[in-house]
Amino acid sequence: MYRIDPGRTDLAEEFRRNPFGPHSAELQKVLNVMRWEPIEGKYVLVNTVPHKEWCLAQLPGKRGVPVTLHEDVVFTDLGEAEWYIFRLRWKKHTGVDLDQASQ
Amino acid sequence: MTFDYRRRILGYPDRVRARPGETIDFKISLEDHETFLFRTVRIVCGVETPDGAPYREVEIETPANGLHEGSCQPIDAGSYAIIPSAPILDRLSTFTFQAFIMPTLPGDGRQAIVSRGSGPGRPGFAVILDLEGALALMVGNGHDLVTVSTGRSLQPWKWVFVTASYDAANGSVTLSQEPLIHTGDSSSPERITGHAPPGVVFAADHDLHMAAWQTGWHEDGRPRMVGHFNGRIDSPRLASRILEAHQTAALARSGPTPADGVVGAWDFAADIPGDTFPDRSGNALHGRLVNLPSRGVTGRQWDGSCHDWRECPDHYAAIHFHDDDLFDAGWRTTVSMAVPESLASGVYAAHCQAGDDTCHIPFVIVPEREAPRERVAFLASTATWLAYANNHWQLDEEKAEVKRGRIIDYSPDELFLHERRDLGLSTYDTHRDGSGVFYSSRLRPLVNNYSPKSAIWSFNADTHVTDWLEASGIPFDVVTDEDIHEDGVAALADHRVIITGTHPEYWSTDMLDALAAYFDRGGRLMYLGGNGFYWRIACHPTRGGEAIEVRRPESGARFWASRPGEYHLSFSGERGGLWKHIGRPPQSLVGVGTFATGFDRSGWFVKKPDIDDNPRASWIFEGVKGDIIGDFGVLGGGAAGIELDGADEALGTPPETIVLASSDGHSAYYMQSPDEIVFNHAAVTGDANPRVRADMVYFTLPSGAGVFSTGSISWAASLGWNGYDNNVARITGNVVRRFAADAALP
Repeated sequence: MYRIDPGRTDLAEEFRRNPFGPHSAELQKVLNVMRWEPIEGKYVLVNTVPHKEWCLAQLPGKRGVPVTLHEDVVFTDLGEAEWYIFRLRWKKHTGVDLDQASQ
Repeated sequence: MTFDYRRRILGYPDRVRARPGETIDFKISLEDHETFLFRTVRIVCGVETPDGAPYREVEIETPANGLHEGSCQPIDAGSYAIIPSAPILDRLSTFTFQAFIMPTLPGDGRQAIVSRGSGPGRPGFAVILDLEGALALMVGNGHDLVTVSTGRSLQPWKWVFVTASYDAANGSVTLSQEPLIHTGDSSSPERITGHAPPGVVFAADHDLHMAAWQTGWHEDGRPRMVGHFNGRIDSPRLASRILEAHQTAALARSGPTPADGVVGAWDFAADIPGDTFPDRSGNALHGRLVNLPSRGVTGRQWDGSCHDWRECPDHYAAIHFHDDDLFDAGWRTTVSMAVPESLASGVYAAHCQAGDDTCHIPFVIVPEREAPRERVAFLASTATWLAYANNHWQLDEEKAEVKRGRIIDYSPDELFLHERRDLGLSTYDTHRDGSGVFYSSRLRPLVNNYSPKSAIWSFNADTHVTDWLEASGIPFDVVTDEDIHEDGVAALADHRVIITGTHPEYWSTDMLDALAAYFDRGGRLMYLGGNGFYWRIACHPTRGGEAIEVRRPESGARFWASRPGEYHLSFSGERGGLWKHIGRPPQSLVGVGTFATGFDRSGWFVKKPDIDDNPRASWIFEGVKGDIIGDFGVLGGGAAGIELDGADEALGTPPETIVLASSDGHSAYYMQSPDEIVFNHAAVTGDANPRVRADMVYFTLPSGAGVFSTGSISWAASLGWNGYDNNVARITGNVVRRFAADAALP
């Protein structure tokens, strides 16, 4: 099973520049790992203003239980939202904070 | 400030389509409001996007428009059986109940297998699964309620023979559970005795119920049901005496079972297409079903030797109940709308508004039976709209993001739908116990995939076609899937051209036969979609298109899979699944059929190099410059996307077919459809596989018929680009004008 290499920040940079692809084969592997997460707690977006604004949310993993909205984390661009969640998942999988790694 | 996604106004019409002069009854429910404003609108373009054709609806004068009163109308989801009250039930005192059951969610709340009466001051009993998932019998005399349980949880998805008896002479209770397959301690048989108040006579003003119990009545007179059972029941029997083991075994056999003291012997293998089941005891305690539990499912006798319930009904003597089944919400009519005689055929909606809360309830006006027809008709894919309505897949399926290739973003309606599970499911969902959803009903509020101002999918995506027709000044009628299912080719025959929506995926046999007959009469079809003519459906045998059914056998782009032995539709008995596997691949009908799906970015079409020199086809591209078609659009950014159909002579594409263009630009998130693959390999994706493509095709038939197919769901989402001035619109316009003319096609 593929494991994300914390040293490959070049792949993170590739995603930041082009969140919607097409992506390199190596980045695709990273994304497959990230996207195949359990449904409980999975990061998603909620479209709060049609075509203009989205907030971060997490799935409860149980039918009928409200989705957890993070209304303080708001995006006006879906690419920004992809990059935000990518960073959260990078840290979860590698233990490395990309914000600090780039400093 | 918390984001408010609650819907305080919901509703549905009693019919999907009406003719001028008919009446449509709207059933509306309000929360936090007492009145609402009803407006009739024609939906011109239902999609709201910054880049494409603008959203537009036009208000229409009808007598129904205006302020109406409303109130909250409840929904009782969950299927169950009713055996109407009868004197023999009112005399019931000592009894034995027995059945084969297969619980699918044991331990998930109290679940009733059979129940009679309840409540303070009233005698009653219920055979249930208790909170631990063990068989239990509740007996009450109106003052005291005693529950006796085996204390041993039942295993999910395993058949078990259960009996429960009450001896009124001394109040003794006996329970037994006997798994049909013994694998160890988890499936040991259990027999237990206990005591309840003696002398109870179960006279009640309630009916006898299976798979739920009644707690009272709604204000409108409907029973209020709770304690729904999840799982299968097979061969339930009720006797007015204590039965010994050899007697229960004899009674368990199927077929007529008149025997001393037998009150009811219910046969779930009879009337599998319908909503009733007979009593074979001789007491005529025939029952009916509520909320469409799954029928045509394997019972305890099924052994793999037979796969069609019509041939071996005894193997299918089970009904699968779910607490999230829903057929008819049963709401009272709030607004009756007499359709004005002058109202033109088209796509309409009731726009209901209460304060800041609004909803659109779509309906279609079809031409009067005797009225002259427009040459062009748009075929509204009402069956497909219904198959996708109230879809929870993105909410419940952990693979949703890995399939889509992007973070999933939910609309407010989806958040609402996620919480309001009583609104029922789509045929893309699984029930709470994991079993696939066979049925979808339109007699309930349809919150997603069936309204304007929602995602570009299904109903809403199809308005891109009608919007473009209107913008192009092409007069058209609208007919629906229900029309061709019910009226056959007569619903199509008077139109020169039929234009499909973006995704005409679900077809009954009658619908497909009607289209084939239309071609025989020289009709012309523009298939402006993808993944069309893919799944077989059946409509309810007595209630028509109010409910559709689909099965998902061994292959196809599925979101659940049918269990073995369950490939035949309960509504019709026909084998369900892909039309391709039934022997009528889409390619044999429209030249192309499903090759691939993907949901990230759409591609474009590349015109074939020799088309300009082919007089049979060059006219299609008249006025089009260059070879790249549709590298723009509001669905993934291109006209070749989402679901892609290709031509294949081996699958029936007529040899005379001209492939006009094929698509390119598909990502690694586009993949061959499962039915295209006989074994897996690494090169099934759009960046590696030449069969991940759409083919745009044209052919004629000796009858004079002509077919133009784009094989792409996103085609129509490019029509409105740049103020309808683009090569996708130009090609579509060239074809519709030529097809609508009297002249023979080249």
